[in-house]
Parts: sequence; structure tokens; C-alpha cells
Amino acid sequence: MRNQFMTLAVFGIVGLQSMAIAQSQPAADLDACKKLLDLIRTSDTDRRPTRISETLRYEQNATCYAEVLLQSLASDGEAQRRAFLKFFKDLEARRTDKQAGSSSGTGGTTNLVSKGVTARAISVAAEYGALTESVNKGIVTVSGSLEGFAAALARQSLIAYCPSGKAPGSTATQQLGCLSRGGLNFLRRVSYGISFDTGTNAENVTAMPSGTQTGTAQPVTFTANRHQISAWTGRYIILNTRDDVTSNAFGKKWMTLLQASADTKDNSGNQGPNADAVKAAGAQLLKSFQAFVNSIKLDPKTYGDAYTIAFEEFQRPEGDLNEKFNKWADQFIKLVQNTPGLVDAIVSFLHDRQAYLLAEDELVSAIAEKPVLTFEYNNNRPVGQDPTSTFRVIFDRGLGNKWSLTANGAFTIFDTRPKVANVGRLRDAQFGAQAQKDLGTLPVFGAAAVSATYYFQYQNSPAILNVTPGMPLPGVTFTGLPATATQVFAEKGNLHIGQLRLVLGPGTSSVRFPIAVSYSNRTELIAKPTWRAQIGVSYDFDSLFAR
Amino acid sequence: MSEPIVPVGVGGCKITPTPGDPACPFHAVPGPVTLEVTDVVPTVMFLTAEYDGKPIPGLPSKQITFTIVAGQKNLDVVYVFTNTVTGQGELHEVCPAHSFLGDALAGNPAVRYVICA
Repeated sequence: MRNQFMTLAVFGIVGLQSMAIAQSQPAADLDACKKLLDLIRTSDTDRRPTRISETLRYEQNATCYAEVLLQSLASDGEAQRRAFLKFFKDLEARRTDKQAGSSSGTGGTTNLVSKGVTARAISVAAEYGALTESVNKGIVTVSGSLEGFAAALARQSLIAYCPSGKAPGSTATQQLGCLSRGGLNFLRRVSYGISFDTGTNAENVTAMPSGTQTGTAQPVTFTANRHQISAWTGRYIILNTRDDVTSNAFGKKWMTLLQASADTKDNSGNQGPNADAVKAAGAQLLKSFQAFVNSIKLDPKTYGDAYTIAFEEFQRPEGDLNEKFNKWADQFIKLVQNTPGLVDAIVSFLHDRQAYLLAEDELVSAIAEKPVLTFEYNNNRPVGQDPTSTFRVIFDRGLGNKWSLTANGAFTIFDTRPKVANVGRLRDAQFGAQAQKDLGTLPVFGAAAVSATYYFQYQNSPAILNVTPGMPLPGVTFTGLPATATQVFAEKGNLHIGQLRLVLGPGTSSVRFPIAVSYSNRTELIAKPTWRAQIGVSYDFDSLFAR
Repeated sequence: MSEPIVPVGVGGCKITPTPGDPACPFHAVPGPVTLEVTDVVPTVMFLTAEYDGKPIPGLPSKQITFTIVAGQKNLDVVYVFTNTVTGQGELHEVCPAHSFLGDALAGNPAVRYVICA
């Protein structure tokens, strides 16, 4: 616990320093202040007074003044200490963490094909059933993207988020320890998944005699065979499409999504983008902005006189605008620097502004970027079978009118060559295709999506089961098996599976219930046609991270 | 400090910018008013807003409508942008003169407008 706290402390200092401007810059050089000064320079005479006014007023130019003040106050050791304590108080108050199913072929899944889209932060899915396997399993899968981790750290100010790649006040083109928009876009391409076998037989303990029997007592050595982690997956988006975010068409799409009420948002099986995180971050920003602005108490006469002089100075065409602003900023600092609680208010405001910018960028990317081609590596470690590796290419494409098409091509190899005659490392090759239709929001059931999937598996090698004498495999009963047999294999044959799947998302929740029914000509072990049902539940934790 | 003389209701608009007045950058006549944010570097909207401490309904939107009341009151706004680096818009009153009231900048998404009526 102490180590955990120390780790947080170190990251906290890094994040806070990035946010709080490492080196003193003239106020006019701060990015947050520059833009309005540039607008004054290029302004026509009608708009110039209004732009001078919005530049000079802290309540209209709050980000600029917050950074100016923090830069000034952070040079004071006591202010730094208070800012740091405030940061930890905020961190403790905000510690919450976000959460879909395993890849096809892992057992215990409702997914016949894999999709290129995963949860951004973390999703957790519990699913029961089997598709290609002969035995039903219960599998819990945790998945997410690396972007989710980085964004969570930025939201908690453990790292700074700087869309342009520069920390506030930095003149460097890129800032170390600062998460840029480009960096976030790269991390979004990488995702992971870990599946846990929740079955009671996921861990077996075997006892073997290890010495001479004395009387009725026999010394033994226990060995454990653990398979709680039944599979892990890594994905990389090779190719995606990005809409032109400056186009009118994108602007309309973006506005429509922002304006959609919570009960009409897209709740299809893919958990499409929604504006909840931006709205939550915006509401939080409004509160901390008000707290910051309200914390500034000024003597009306002193402030009024200083403002009037500065306004008249800005109105004169002669003189350097930056120098005028720096002079005004120094005056403003002197007027407010002893305000009680100011540092706390500034730190909260700048933290919430950073989280808001991140939420804005994530929403735009979620709408604009769609994976087209994804590579997936899946390491499958089922109980009683040799570990296998599957290499899969995933193709996703929206077809318009709420239809989408997903196709997979994959092959699976054994991690080590099986000790069975005439069996090589190539286990199988697979192809799957799915057409999905988003049904919108249904009465009673909420948001819904329905899909039809066809899956084909060419079996190059028969399914091989590892058996231990006296230790039955879960769900499999052997009759008349020789005591010396350590591996058994079934007659191989190609699989054809068809599936109908319905995903329901009741109300405005992030919970999804996939329900599926499938028909296959055979399973990996049993060469007879079979009907199966699969069911699951998943939870997307993105909404919690947004708070 | 002498009270500035402020023309209100100019050009059929309710709000008039008074940039030289330290206490009140905007003077207005009481009554319903509609403000809109126009795109300069696409695209910008009002995400959330409060006038006199009360939330303005119907957001997010390109426009907000509220009723100006007598006294010095705050209009607090959070803008939302498609571009968090270069995003820019302009705040105007929806009135015949379409008066310019200020800029909306992505780097400074939260703004308070002090309005005296």
C-alpha cells in the first residue's frame, strides 16, 4: 500500500509539473493567452474593443489567467505543497475504473467472428456456451485498448494531456511526459484481451508418489495444472478510415451525436460512440470554472482603475501588445495573489479543462475513425489441450442504413508440435462473415442489434486432448481408455456453423446482453450436427472513467 | 468612477458590448434573448450554460435562449469543439444587427459573460 502510494506520488509530481508549467514564461507567450492577442492584432476597428475586453477580463479569458497565476504562484514553495496535496485529495476522490467478450475459438463465447472495435478503456464480459468446441464453458473476458490506460492517467492528471503535443507554457515542439493527440491516436490502434476460465476444473492438482510408502502413509509431490487464464489476445489496427473532420458532413454527424438524448444513443452490440463522457466532463469543467472565477475577490475601485488604464493602453495603436499584456498580467497577479484557496481552485480548473479537452478529442476520434483492417493474435490455452496460437485478419465495413459487415480469415497452429503421428503444427484455418443490422431502440428491450454469421473451419489436424489417468477432463467421460493413454484425438472434419445473434442494451446503461443460437454440422470432437445456445453479459466501464 | 452611458437595444439587439466598463462588459435590456455561436474553424456548439445560476435547457446546441433579468447577472458557458487546438467560433446575438459579442476558442472552453440590465 505504501509502495502504491509512493508510485502514485512520483507520477503525480510528473503530471502536476507538466500541467503547472515547469519554467516561467512571459504571460503573452503562453499558448492560452496568445490566441486572443493575435485576434486583437488582426481585428477590424469595430471588433477590436470587444476583443481587448475579452483579453483583459479573467472571467472571459480564464484559461490564460489560470496559467499565468499558477506559473507565478508555483514559484512559491507553500503554493506548490498545497497544489500537490489538493491533487492527491482529488485523486482519491476520483478513483473509479471502465468495461465485451472473448475472440472466436476461445470457448465460452457468443462471438463467431472477431471485430476490430474493442472497448476504449476496459470492458468485462461473462459468456456461457460453445461454438466450435464440444463442451460448454463459462469464460470471463477483460478487454480494452492502450488508449484507455493513457486516457485514464491523463484524466487523473498522472500524465498531462496536451493536444498540440506541448505542455502549457512550453516552447518545445514536443514535451516528454505529455500525452499528445497523435500519441493517443496511436495507442487507440493497440488493444488487448485476457480470458479467464471460471470453471471449477480450471485448476487441477495432481499427486505423484515421491518416496517409499511407510505403513499406510505415502509421500507424494503435488503439481498444479492451472488454466485460469484460458486465452490472451493482442490486436493492432493496420488500416482505418478517418472522416474529414473539417467537412460539413462530419460537423453534422458530430452535432447529431452530441444532441442525441441518452435514451436514443446508438447502443448496438459494438457499443458505438456517445457523447456522455464529453457532457460529464463539460459539467465538471463548468463547476470548477465557476469555483475558480468566484474565488477571485477584487476591490472594485482598485480593479476598475487598473482595468480602465490597461484598456486605454490597449486601445492605442503604438507600443508592443505583448509588453502591454505582460504589464497587465503582473498587475493582475498582485491584485489576486493573496486570495485564499486560489491555488486549489486553479489546479482543479486546469485539471478539469485538461480532462475536457481529452473527452472532446476522444469523441471526435470515435466518430471519425473506423477500423477497416485489424490484425489479431490469440493465444488459446484450454484445459486438457495443447496451447495454440491463432493469427487473424479482421475486416470491418459499415454498409450504410445501419448495416455493417465483418469478415475474418485466420489460421491456428499448435505452440509445440503434437506428439501424435502424422500431425503437423498447423491445426486449422478459418473463415467467418457476419452481417449486422442495428435495430435502434425497441420498446421494453431498449437498444438492439441483430446479426447473422457463417463460419467455416478447415481442420488440418484432429482435435487432440491431453488426458491424465484418473483425472477426467471437464465435461468429457472416457470409457475403456487404456491406463497408459496420455493423448486422445477425434476424427477430423471441416466445420460449418451458422448463427443468429441478438444484442440487447436496456435503458441508458452500459450493460449488453448477447443471446445467440447456432447450428453446426459437427464440433471439433463430435462428428454429428448440433444446435447450441449461447448467452452472455458485458459491461462497458467508459462511463465511469468519464466522471 | 462615473457611470458609463450605455446605449441598449441598438440595431434591434438586446445586448450591447461595453468593453470599457470594468464591471459590466455587456449591458442589456430585460427580456428574452437568443445567442448563437457561429463557426470560424469548424465546428463549435454550446455544450452547457447557466444564466443567473440556472441551467439553460435545450443544450448542446448552436443557440441558447434565456430571459435577461434586471441586475448584474452571469452567463456561464462551456463550448464544445471538433478541434481542441485550432477550434474557433464567434458569439453573436440573434437580432437584426447580429452583434458580435466575443470569440469562442477551443483552448478556453469555459467563459463567463457578465451582463447588466
